[in-house]
Amino acid sequence: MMGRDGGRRGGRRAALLAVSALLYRALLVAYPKAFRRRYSSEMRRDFGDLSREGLEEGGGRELARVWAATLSDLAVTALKERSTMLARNAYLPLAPRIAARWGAFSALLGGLLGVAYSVAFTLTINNGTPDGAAWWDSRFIGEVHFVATFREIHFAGTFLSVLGMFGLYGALVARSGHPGKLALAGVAFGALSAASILTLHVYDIAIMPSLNLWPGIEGFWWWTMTMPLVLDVLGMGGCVVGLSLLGVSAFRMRLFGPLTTLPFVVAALWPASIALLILMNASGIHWMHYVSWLSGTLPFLGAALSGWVLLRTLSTDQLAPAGGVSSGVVEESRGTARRAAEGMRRTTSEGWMDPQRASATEAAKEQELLEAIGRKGQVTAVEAALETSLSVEETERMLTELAAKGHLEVRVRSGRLLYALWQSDAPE
Amino acid sequence: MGDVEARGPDDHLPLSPAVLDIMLALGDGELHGYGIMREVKQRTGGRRRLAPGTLYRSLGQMEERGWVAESDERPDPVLDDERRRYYRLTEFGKRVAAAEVERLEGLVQAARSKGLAPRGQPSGAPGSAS
Repeated sequence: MMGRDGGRRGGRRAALLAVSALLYRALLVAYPKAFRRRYSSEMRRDFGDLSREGLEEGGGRELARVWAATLSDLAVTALKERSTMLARNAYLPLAPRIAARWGAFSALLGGLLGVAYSVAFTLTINNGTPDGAAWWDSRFIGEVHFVATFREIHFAGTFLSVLGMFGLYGALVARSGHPGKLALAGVAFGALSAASILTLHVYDIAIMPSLNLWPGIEGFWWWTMTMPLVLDVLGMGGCVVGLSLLGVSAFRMRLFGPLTTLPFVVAALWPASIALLILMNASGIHWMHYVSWLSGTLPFLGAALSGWVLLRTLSTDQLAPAGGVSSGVVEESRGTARRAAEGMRRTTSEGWMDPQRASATEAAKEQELLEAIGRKGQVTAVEAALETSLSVEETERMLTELAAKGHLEVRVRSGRLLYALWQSDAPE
Repeated sequence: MGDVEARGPDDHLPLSPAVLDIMLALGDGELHGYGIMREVKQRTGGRRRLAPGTLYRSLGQMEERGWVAESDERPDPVLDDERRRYYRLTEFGKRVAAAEVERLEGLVQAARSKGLAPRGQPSGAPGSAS
C-alpha cells in the first residue's frame, strides 16, 4: 500500500518537474540568442537540479520559492543582457556600412520620387483650388487610375525617404563604432514614422473606401478624419524627431560635417513645407497655390540631398577606418601604431576630434590589432587587448566589426570566441 | 602591454556581490555552474542563492574580462557529468579577487574604528550560519 502511494507520489513529482523544466525552457527565450546558444543547456540542467533539490527538501512550497527567485532573476538578467546586446549593436541585422549604403539609396530614390510627384501634381492641377478634397476628387485630374498612381508615387517617395534615416543611423554607427542611446532613439522614431506612413497607406486603400460605403457607422468622423490625421502626424512627427535625435547624436559623438548638419536640415524642411503650404494658400493669390503645392518638394529635396551626400561619403570611404584589412599588416611598425593610438587618446581627452585624424588613428589601431592576430594566429578580445595598446572594449568593438564585415574568421572553442585572419590573408 | 594589465586589478573594483561570490566559490578549485550555486548556498547558510540567470551572466562577463576560464580537465571523472562545463579562476582573476578582498578589509577596518561594525564572526563566513 505504502509502496503504491510512494510510487504515485514519485510519479506526480516527476510530472511536476517535467512541466517545470518545460516551462523554464520556454521562458529562456527572453534572453538574446547568443546568450541562449552559449548557456541555455547549462541553465536548464542547473534549474532542473535546483527544482529537484527544492522539491526533495521542502516539497511544493520550496519549489514555488525556487520558481519565484528564478522568475525575478530571469526578468532582470534577460533585460540587462538584451540591453548589453543593444549597446554592442548586436541587433543590427546588416553591417553598418551596408545599412548606410541601402539607406542612402532609399533616401535618394524616395526624394527623387517625392520631388517628381510634387512637380507633376502641381502641373496637373490647373483649376487653381488645390485643397484636401482635390486629392480624392478625380474630376480635378481625370481618370481614377491616374489618382491611384499619384497616390502610390507619393507613398513610395515618403516611405523611402523616411527609410533613409536607417542610412544615417548606419553611417553614425560605422563612423563612431557604437550606436549610442540617442541614435538608437532616433532610429526608433524613424521606425515609428515609417510604420505610421505604411499604416496610413494601407488604411487609405483598404479601409477608407469601405467606410465610405457605410456613412451611418458609429464614429464615422473619427474613422475618416481623425484616424488618418493621427497617422499623418505620427509619420511626420516621428521623422522630424528622429532626424533631430540623429543630428544631436552625431554632434555629441563629435562627428562634425554632413552627418551632424544634414539631419537637422532635412528635419527642418518638413515643418517648413507645411508652413509654406498654409501661408501661400491663405494669401488668396491665385498663382500662390502653385507655389504652395511646390513647397511639398522641400522635404523630398532634403531626403534626396542626404542620400546623395551619404553615398558620396561612403564612396570616399570616410565612414570607416581607412586602409585595407589584410594588406600591410606585418609591414606597419608597431611603435608608430601605438604612438598614433596614444595621439588619438589625447585628442579625445581634449574633447575635440578631427574626423580625418580620428580616421587615421582608427586605422592605426586596426593595424596594430591585425598585427597581433597575425602573430598569435587567433585571439580572444582580452588576449588582443593584452597584445596591443588598446582596451578590451576597443578590441572587442573592432573585432566584432571586422568579423561582421567578413574580414575575420570567428571560431568558437570551449565557448570562447576566437578571431583569426582568413587563411588567404594570414602572413606567410 | 595592453590596457587590462596596465590598469591593474584595482581598476576593476568594486565587484558585484554575485561576481565576488563566484570568485570565492572557485577559490577552492574548479566547479561547474550548479556546484558554484551549491557552494554559495552552503557558505552563506542559504542566505545568498545564485539563480541561473545571474550566475551565467556573471560568468560570461568574467570570461570576457579574463577572470575565469573554462577548464578542459574534469576534476572527478567517475562522478563527473561530461556535459557540464567547469570553470576556474585565472591568475588575473585571483589578483582581482584579492584586490577586492583587500578593499573590503579596509572598509571593515574603517567601519570598526568608527564603531559601525560588529566584532563577531562576519556573516557569509564558513560555518557562520549553519
